Amino acid sequence: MSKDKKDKIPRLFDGSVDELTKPSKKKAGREDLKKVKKQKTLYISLDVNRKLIELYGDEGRRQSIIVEDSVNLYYYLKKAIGEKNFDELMSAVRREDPEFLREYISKFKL
Amino acid sequence: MARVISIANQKGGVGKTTLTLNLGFALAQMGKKVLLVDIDPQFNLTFGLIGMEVLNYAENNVGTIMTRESSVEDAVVEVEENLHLIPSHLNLSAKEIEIINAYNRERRLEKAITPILPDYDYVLIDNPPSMGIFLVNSLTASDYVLIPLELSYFGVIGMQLMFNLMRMIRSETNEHLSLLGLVPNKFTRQTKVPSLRLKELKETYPDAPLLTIIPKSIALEKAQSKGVSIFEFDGDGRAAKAFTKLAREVVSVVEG
Repeated sequence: MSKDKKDKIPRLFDGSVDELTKPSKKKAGREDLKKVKKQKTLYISLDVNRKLIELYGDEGRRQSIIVEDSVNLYYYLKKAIGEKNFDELMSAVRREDPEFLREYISKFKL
Repeated sequence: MARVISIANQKGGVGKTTLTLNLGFALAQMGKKVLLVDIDPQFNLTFGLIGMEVLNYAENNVGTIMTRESSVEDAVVEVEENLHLIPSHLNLSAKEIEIINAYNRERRLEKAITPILPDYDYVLIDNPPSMGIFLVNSLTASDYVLIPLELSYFGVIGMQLMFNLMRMIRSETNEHLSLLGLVPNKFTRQTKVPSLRLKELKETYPDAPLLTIIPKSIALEKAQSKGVSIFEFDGDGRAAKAFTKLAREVVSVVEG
């Protein structure tokens, strides 16, 4: 999946939201329609379900990679720089400020 | 006669239970008689409100009223004045198969709660995130749907699935079901994503009825973990104010 495609939220509802805010009107000829239409299930259409499963699959794989990378980074970095340095580094990371972190790393001495 | 509102979204973790609980308290504080119905087998709302007492309701809960093993009156728990609860229970998942195979399976909840609707002004139903017989029952029994919305990629997708499901329910089991509104939840400006998604949502669905935005709040999480409403935990905070505003909005839309 390309990055653009992944970032943009797909439109999965093709109806009018405005109409959903009002109770629906009884349709004329509803009885006739009932005779011809197949029995519908109340479960979400297969098409939408498939789209959702694909999206969740992609997201699941993406998150698995992130988790694996995080675990590796945590484990090996801690071993490499020692617990004290690692705790200090993590407190800089937890500030969620890239500028601060860059400055901290530039001054970091092993 | 009570107006029945389903709080629903097929995505988990968007704040359905938090919204049900705090909106219920806010409406009760306005003097409305409120019944909360927990139809989620995870029973978070029930646990939040009555804790371990949930174990005493194995034979009187939302599942047993749907299977007609108990009467609805016996399943109502008074949480406080003006605020009652029909609890969920650990055994609710097991009832699912029983209800799926039962006659009139989509209308079990509607039939069960109809006798007590005149006793309340509002009934709020906390739903499971999964699409199944409980959510279908809830939407069939409801006048309105309130969709809590997390402004993230999957949050917006979950909202669209609810639109599709609502359309299906309106054509099959409940033509009176209406969208009451979307409640953006856990909103923060600490990252750009929520604002971006909100903008995107307004562009894609310009008619979407957006209600009060609930801010991301540590107080809300703490209140939930202590099993109290935001009004008891931090009554003057911004989250409590947002829920009060939301309750007024709900009353204004529903009662006109």
